[in-house]
Amino acid sequence: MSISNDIWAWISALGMIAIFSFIFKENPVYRFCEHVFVGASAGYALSVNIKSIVDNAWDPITKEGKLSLLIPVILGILLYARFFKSIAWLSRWSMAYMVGIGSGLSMFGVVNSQLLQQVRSSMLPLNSVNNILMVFGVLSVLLYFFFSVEQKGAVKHGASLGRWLMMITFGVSFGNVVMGRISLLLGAFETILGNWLGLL
Amino acid sequence: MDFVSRLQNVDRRIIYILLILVTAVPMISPLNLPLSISPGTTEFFNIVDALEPGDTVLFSLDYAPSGAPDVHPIAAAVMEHLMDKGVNVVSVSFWDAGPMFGEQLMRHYEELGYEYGVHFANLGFVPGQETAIKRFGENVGTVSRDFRGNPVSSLPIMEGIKDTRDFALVIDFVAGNPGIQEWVRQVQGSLGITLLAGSSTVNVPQTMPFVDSGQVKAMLAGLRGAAEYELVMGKPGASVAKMDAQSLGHIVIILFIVVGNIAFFLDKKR
Repeated sequence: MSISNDIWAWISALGMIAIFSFIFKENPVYRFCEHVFVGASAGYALSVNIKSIVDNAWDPITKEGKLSLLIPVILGILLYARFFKSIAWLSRWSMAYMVGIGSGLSMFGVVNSQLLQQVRSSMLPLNSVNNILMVFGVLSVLLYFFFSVEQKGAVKHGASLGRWLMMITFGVSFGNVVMGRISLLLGAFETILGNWLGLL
Repeated sequence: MDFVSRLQNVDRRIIYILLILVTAVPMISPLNLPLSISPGTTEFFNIVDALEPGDTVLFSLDYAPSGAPDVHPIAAAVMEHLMDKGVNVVSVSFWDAGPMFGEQLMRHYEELGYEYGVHFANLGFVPGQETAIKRFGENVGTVSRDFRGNPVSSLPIMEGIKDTRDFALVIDFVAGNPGIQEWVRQVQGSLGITLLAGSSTVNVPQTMPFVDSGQVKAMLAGLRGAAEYELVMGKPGASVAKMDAQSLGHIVIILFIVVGNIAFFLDKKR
């Protein structure tokens, strides 16, 4: 065992242990570290975003004379008008622009990549167990959400299969969440046992 | 309180302590449990392995510290493979925390003698989420300066790169949105780039449909994906070492679920 001499390894490991202390009880050390984390994250995000404004707007306008960039800059500034009651309406222009661009981009992308392509990939020849499962799985789940006919007889059985398949899917999702959370725990142990205590 | 009721009300601290013990001990002294390689990992490896020296790959580092233990090992394993092959790497991030992971990856290789700007470059954070991915995908010149403040046009690695089609591969290392959905929606669909994913385990159900449809050519899933990749590469490293702990952690959780359910049904029967 060779404990690290690096001050950052100490800060990182002690911070993690302090956060882990919540397992037993909420305490002032946990709360202190939680606030430091929130503050540091906000500070980091702010500095990265300011750098982004300088690189993408300020420098090109002032050094390269790209005056067309003034339009997005003004729209961006107008977003803050909502903090002043008398001119709050001005922020709607920027919002309208953002919503319009966002919707336009998403509409094409969603229809093309997430609807047409996915439907196409579900139209499979029924020549293997995987394909049969995929095709009947999709049909039965769609049947579960089909409310135009009364769910009885064959429709009821199909919808019931769809419900079972969805429950299995939720189980798979939950399994992935558990696996992911254990990975995060192992990442923390790597910092504490490896980088700090030198045990790994 | 009788035994059955106690089993249904185990103190959470006991569960945590058990989980900490069974995951920490095998990290210190590994048990070397067997680890199988999934077909998806082999496919991912083969696509990367087919690249030629001098090719350039784009890493989209879309994760934050909260998801990094699950995703960063994948990026590190793939970076190791690419550096071994003499393939260059350009990183960009649509999450503000992403660039620091790019720096972590690159600084290690700088210490080994690789040169920033020639073998790799970190373009930093591009704000704007889905819109930014669309814009960057169609015009890499959207980013004028890299994360270290150099003009992007002055970096030798960026010569001849105008849009994302000029990269041999685009790999999205992703822990949420914006990420793989936006890459597929805005860039893969319209430009037809070859897109791979290194996904956090939680994000796998969101990514899998794109792998099945071929929009994402292959995916590595979480720490397990990184461990498998290290094995396929023939360089077992930190991720492989963590797999024993991961397996034992799962066993403990399964045991608690089974015991809890047995106790529930016994209680119901009374």
